[in-house]
Amino acid sequence: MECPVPSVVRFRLHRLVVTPVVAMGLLGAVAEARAVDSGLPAPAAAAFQATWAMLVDFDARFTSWSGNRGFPGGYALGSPGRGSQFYAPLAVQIVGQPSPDYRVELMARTGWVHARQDSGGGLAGSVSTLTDTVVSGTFTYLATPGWQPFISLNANLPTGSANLPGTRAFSRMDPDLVEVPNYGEGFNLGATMGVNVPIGEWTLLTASLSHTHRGGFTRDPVTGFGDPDNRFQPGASSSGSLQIAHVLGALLLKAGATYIVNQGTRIDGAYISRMGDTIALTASAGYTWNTDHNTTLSGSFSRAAPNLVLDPTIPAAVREAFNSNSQAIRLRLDHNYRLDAQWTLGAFASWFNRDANAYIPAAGAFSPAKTRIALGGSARYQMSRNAAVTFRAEHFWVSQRSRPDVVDPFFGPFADTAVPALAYTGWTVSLGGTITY
Amino acid sequence: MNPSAFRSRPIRARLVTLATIGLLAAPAASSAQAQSVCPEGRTREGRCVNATLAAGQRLAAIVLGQTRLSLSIMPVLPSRDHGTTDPTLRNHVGREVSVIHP
Repeated sequence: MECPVPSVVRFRLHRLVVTPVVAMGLLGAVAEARAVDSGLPAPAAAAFQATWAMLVDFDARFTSWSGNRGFPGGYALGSPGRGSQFYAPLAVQIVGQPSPDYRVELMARTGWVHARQDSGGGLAGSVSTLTDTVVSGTFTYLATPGWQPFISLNANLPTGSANLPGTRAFSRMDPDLVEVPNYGEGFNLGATMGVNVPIGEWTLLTASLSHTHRGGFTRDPVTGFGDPDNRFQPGASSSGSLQIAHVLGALLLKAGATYIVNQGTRIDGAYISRMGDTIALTASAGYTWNTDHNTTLSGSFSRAAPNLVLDPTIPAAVREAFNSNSQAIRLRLDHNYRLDAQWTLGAFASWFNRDANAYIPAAGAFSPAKTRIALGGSARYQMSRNAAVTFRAEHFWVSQRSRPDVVDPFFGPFADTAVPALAYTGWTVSLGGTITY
Repeated sequence: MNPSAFRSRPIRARLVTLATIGLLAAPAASSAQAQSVCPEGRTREGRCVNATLAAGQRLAAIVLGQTRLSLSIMPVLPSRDHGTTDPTLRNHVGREVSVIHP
């Protein structure tokens, strides 16, 4: 028979047992609240269901530009400069999580382009062609907490037009003016191996290594009309990249560094040059003012070491005396405003500068500084839960400094090789849609 | 558990039973959380990784690492071209795009 326990003692014993049980319940509630506060999804039901989604993404863009010279800008008779390009890319993406332990992403992207240059001095030509096609597959392993490795294989299939005979070659335009400066190349295969490493709840570190093999292709002659076509053999490229992202309340900070090593390029088997090693830096800061307003400031920078060029007198590849590569920097400001559940408006401004290279202005390899400024806006309409349409418009200005006549140390100045200051203006409009199944 | 039978048991036995229930509930709750699915995996502490952040960083690694995959096309959806294109990574394009000089 049990001795009776005084009521006060019974109450104290009761508290000793109940308190930890209640505490565990409270801790669980707090943890869930923190998950909600952090924007992380609440734990799903215990039973796993494989998920798959297919997405079709389409965008049609038209660019028109004009300036005081056509492309290439060194051709004195190519005045005035004028051109346009219609580009319509289309992609299908399938994303799935067939198991809780891994994720699969597949994508195929192609497009069609019509481009035309109508500059003076005979710099006139047009092309209508399918672009190259990019196929991509990414596998991410999710089973290990704190460590999510991934591997991505991408291929550029040569479905475009690399060979542009005759005046079609003049449809190639300045890559600072049009989005598609060239209309095809060879079979390229790229691979990236990387890992996402979450550090705590608010920081994510990403490290990756990549390699891109670039296949050869035949193109129209780089020397002049009537010459035989050339076999272009671009060099492979390898890179290592490190990125970090950190969420600090309403502020999202990102930074990244990439180091790129290139192999030599050959034309018809002859070594031409090898681009110097390149360092690229990126950074961005995004601030969410409230549920409707978000602003992002981003910057990027790249610098390449002097190239290895062929010295025919040796013959061998030697480091060029001056760095013919320019440093490039870009700043960009974006703001998005969620008008209501269907409409989101956006505005952006960007400034891009490529400085003069290290050669003196009178040298043949000199490249003057160039600046591009762009202003634009966008409007996105969410038609339904799985369909959206986006309209975007942009106006841009491009300016390039002048350069004097080329002066050879033995033969003296070459007349009419000077290039005046070049100025271009243009605009781009696009209309695109996304449908998710 | 039968409430009547529970109340008839000695106090010490009831306290042990309640504590045992609490201890058993804790791993069950953890197990339920462990069985939930996170779209981009978990941190070392067991929380879900921020899915948007992880996917964006992975895509950026691919784009930054494969700048030579194509002169004109990145391995991203067309709707993301505008926010992904970086002219500082396309310095090589001008060198490889050339026309016949008339």
